This record gives sequence, structure tokens and C-alpha cells, in this order.
Amino acid sequence: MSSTEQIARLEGLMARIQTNAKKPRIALGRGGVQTDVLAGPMTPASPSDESARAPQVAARSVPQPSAAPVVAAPIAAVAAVAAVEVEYSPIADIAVDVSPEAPPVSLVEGEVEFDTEDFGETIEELDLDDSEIVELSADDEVVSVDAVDAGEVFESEDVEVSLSVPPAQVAAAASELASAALSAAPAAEELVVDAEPIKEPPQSSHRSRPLEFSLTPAPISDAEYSREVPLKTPPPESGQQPSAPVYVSHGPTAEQLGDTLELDEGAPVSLELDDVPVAIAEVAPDQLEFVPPKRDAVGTSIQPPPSEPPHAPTLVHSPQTGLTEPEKEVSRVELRVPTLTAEELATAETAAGVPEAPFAADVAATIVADFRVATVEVQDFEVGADAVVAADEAAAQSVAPLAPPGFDLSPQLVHAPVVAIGVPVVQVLPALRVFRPSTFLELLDASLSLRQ
Amino acid sequence: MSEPQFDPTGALRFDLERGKLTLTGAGPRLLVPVPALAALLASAGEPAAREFGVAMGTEIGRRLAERLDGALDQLGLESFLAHLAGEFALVGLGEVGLERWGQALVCTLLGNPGLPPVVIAAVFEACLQRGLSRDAAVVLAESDSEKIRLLVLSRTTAQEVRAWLTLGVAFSEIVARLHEPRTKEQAS
Repeated sequence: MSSTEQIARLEGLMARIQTNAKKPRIALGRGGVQTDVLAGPMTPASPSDESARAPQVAARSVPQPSAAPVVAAPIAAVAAVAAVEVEYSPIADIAVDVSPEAPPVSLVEGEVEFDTEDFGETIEELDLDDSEIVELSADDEVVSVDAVDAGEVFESEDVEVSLSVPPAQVAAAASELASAALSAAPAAEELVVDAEPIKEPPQSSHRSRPLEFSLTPAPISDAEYSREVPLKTPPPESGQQPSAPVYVSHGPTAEQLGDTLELDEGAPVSLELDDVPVAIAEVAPDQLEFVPPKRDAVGTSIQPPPSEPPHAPTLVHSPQTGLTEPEKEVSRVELRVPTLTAEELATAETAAGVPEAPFAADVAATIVADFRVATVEVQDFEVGADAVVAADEAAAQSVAPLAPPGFDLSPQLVHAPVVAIGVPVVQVLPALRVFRPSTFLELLDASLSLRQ
Repeated sequence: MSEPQFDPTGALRFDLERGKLTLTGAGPRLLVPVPALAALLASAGEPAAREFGVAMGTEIGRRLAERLDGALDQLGLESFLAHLAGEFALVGLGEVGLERWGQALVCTLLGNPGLPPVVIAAVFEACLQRGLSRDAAVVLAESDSEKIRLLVLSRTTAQEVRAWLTLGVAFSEIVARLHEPRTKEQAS
């Protein structure tokens, strides 16, 4: 047989393989358990038969960009995974020993080792006629085929390869065959590898691929680039996003304006403006103090809210100020008693039935009553602590008779006792030492040390 | 260790054959009438009377130290008083007592035979100096016909107390002042 015929046969074989690859495949699990959902008569194969029939294929560990789930489970779990349709990328450099006598070969590359005995559950059955067997050579030389598809498993019983052509040609033909098989057979249930997950986004993703991954970037001119605004958010590593072009207008051109007339500036004209009265900003009331409405503004018929007790009118009485006129204020009543002498306090205490307190200081009391809240500030105390307390009580009691009948005054006493700075507050008293001399000399020495 | 007891056995020995009176550990003694001695001391003056008292006190202190050799540091008040009073009794100076007013040591003497108080104070002072090796000063605080009260102080304090005594400060007031700390003005 000439080399041309051999090549033609190989091409025919390759076409046959491609045809078979398009057929549905059947995967058998270990112990005859069918793991494929595809229909078809299955012949359970015993493990012995399986080992005898299964070609000794050792697939190198290849960086396997695949979307297949990462399975690092024992062999028993491989059958369950085998039914999953796996899509993977081409595999490079798979050494296939098709001779049945060849011992199991385990090629290790990287971290993962594959042995076809472990993956022997699923075997692709190829229909090969004896007539299609090509004797390549009479030698028993093992052909190393750089196959691609790890999912294609050949049955060594049906394939007899004899090398009768130069090995280079056979290798080239086998490479083409493998490439064709790769393009035609997408499934690889037999190989369950522990591979890195593919970085390629899934097809369902609407995200565009980054620019650097584009194999053939379209040339973009500078003008187009300046006006092009990316429709989608580029990845952060893509650098600064080109900004939209900015159109700067320098005014109409001479063509747009046409003929223009230059007008002289007119004479200065004095404008007569009415004097607008300067608005005097009203003094904003203090936020902490409520300004009652003016009497003339609201009239004299001021009545408290129906829900509140009748607090107004309030009688303001001070012995010195002589504020005896009632102040009709609804919301706030301010009582000021600048100075209360001791006699006045005594009078007030007598009226209130409070015993006279030893108080002889001037009291400046400010009574701010907001409905039921009243505050009395007692200042400038120069008496002792006891007198201060007594003065507080006296001041509190002295306010009571000043309030009109029914006016609920709950005075809150606020005072700051005068504390002299520099006074030794802490005085350490030594423990009382009982001198009990045990010897006469001790007593004698103690007596001699007096006033020393 | 038991405190030594005062034992006056054989302290005085009368040698009737030779007509000698001796005190154990001391030289010959002389029995003289107290009024004659007092008249002599009064005529001799205070310094001479004081020297007489110092001589008597030194002799008492020496015998006291000899009796209490090695045990004086551990001797209690009562034991020491027993020895002190025994020595004073052997010479006929009266009944010695001790008082403690706070930290102040006060020696008392009942039954003064008629010697001047200055002599008695000198006897006590010399006895404490010789017998106890302390630079003590004895100040006569109170004295009446029956009892003499003497303060045992340091020399500087004794001068203050003597000044207070000349001012007529009472004994209780002196004791109170002794227990007050000395001010800076007083120290200067």
C-alpha cells in the first residue's frame, strides 16, 4: 500500500470518527450501573472486562479551563458526575498508548494525576470494522499521538495500528484526527478533573468582555475615540475613562453675525429712585424667653386655654419695688424680688407660719414662673452652711405668700455655697496613742523627751 | 527572767566593838540629828546644800546600779521603785514614790526628815544620773510639809519649767504644757 492510499484511509478513518462523534454516547458506570440518561441497550461490563477492554490512557494534567464542577471525589463518585455534560477547552498533549499489552501509564504533570483505570466507567464504543483497520507498521512501536480530546477513549481491541508510514506523517495525521474529534465531540464525561474554574464569563452574562481580551481590536481613530463614550462601565483596570468631548463656544462667527452696526453710547442719565425706607430688623426674641403678646395687639380679654387652670392674673408684690398692679399675662409671668431684707423675710415667715431662721443676708431672688414652674435663685451668700440651708428654706417659704391664691408655685432652690479657696479641707488626726511604758527606762526616756 | 527583788539584808552593819556603822557597798556612816544637819545646810547656802544632796544621790545611784547590774533595762516600774525606795529608806530619806502624768515622770517623797527640798531634788537628780546614766534634770514642782513632787525632765525643758514655776503656773498646767509641741518661736 502506498503512502497516498494510507493517507486516504486515514482521512476516511478521521471522517468516520467525526461521524461517530456526533452520535449520542453511552457512559457506563462502575459495576454496570448506567449513569447516562441516554436511551439505548447497555451491556453491563464487569470490572475485569472493563479493565481488559479499557485502553490504558493516561491523560496529563492540563490546565483545564472548564465550567465543569470541580470534582475531587473518589472514583465511586465519578459515575454520578459523568452524566453531567461537561464543556471544556481543548486539551493539549495527551499521550495515548493504544497497544493492549502496554502497561498502565500514568503521566504526571503538575498536581493532578489521571489514570484511565479510575475513569474506566465510561467508555466510548466505536464501531470499527476490520476492513478499516490500517496496518501502519509491523513493528510494535508505540505511537505517541498528540491527541487533544481526552473524552475520546479508544477501544484497544478494535484498533490495531501498524506503522508502515513515516512516523512524522502518522503523527500529523493523528493530530488532524484529534483536532477533528475535538471539534466534533464536546462531551467529556470520562474526564473529571480538578481544574480551575474558567474565567470566561458565562454566556448568560450580559457583561461585555474587557478590551484587553479582545483578540482583534478594531482600530479606532482619535476623533472617534474622543467622542466615544463607553456604554458600559469599564473594569477598573482599564484606566481612566475618556471623558465626553467638550465643545467650547467662542461666540458667533463673523459669518453668522453678518454686518453689524456700531452704536454710540448714550449720555448718562440720572435715575430717580424712590427712597425705600430701610427695614429695621426686629429684634429677635430670645429663644429661651417667650415674649407675650402685646396688650394692645390682643386686647384685654385674654383668657387662658380652657385646659389650663386659670393662672392669670398674677399679683406681683415686692415690698421695695411696689409692684402691686396685677399683670395680666397669659403664658408667662416673671416675678422679680431684687432684695429681701431680714425683716422682710421674717415677716414673710411669720405669715407663712415658718419659724424664723437665723438668716441675716440680703437675698436677691428671681422668680420665674412659667405656669406651674418657678425658680428661685438665691445669690450672694456670705454666711455659713447652716445659714445657707436655712436661708434657702426661708426664701422658699417666703415666696409662698407672694403668690396669689391658687397659684401653684413650686420653687426650686438654687444656691452656690461660698467655698474659700486655700482652706485645708483635710485634717489628719493621729490615732490616740495610749502610752503604757513597760519599763522604767522607757518612762524616763519619754519624760526626758518632752518638748524636745 | 525574773526581776531581782530588793533585799536589804545585812545592808547596815553596826560594829559595836569598834563603834562603826557601815553600809554594804559604801563607806562608814554617821548618825546625826536632822535638825542640826538642816541648820548646817541652811547656813551653808544652796549650792553647798545642793552639793551635799548630789553626793548623797550619787552614792545611792551607784549602789542601785550595782544591785541592778544587767537587769536595769528590763526592770519594770514597780521593781525599779522597790529598789529605789529601798535605797532611799536605808539612808533615812523617806518614802519614795513614782507618778506618771502622761509621759512625764514624777518622783514623790513622803516623810521628808527635814532636809531642804533643794537637797532632795539634788539627791534624786544625782541618783538617776549615776544609776541610770541619763542626763536628767529634777525640778521641784510641788512641796508641802508631807509630800514633795519632783518632775524628771531634760535640762532644757527643766529651765522652761523653772521659768513657769517662777510665774506661778500650777503643776497641772505645767504638765499640760509639757505635752504640747514646741513652737518655732519657743524653739528659737
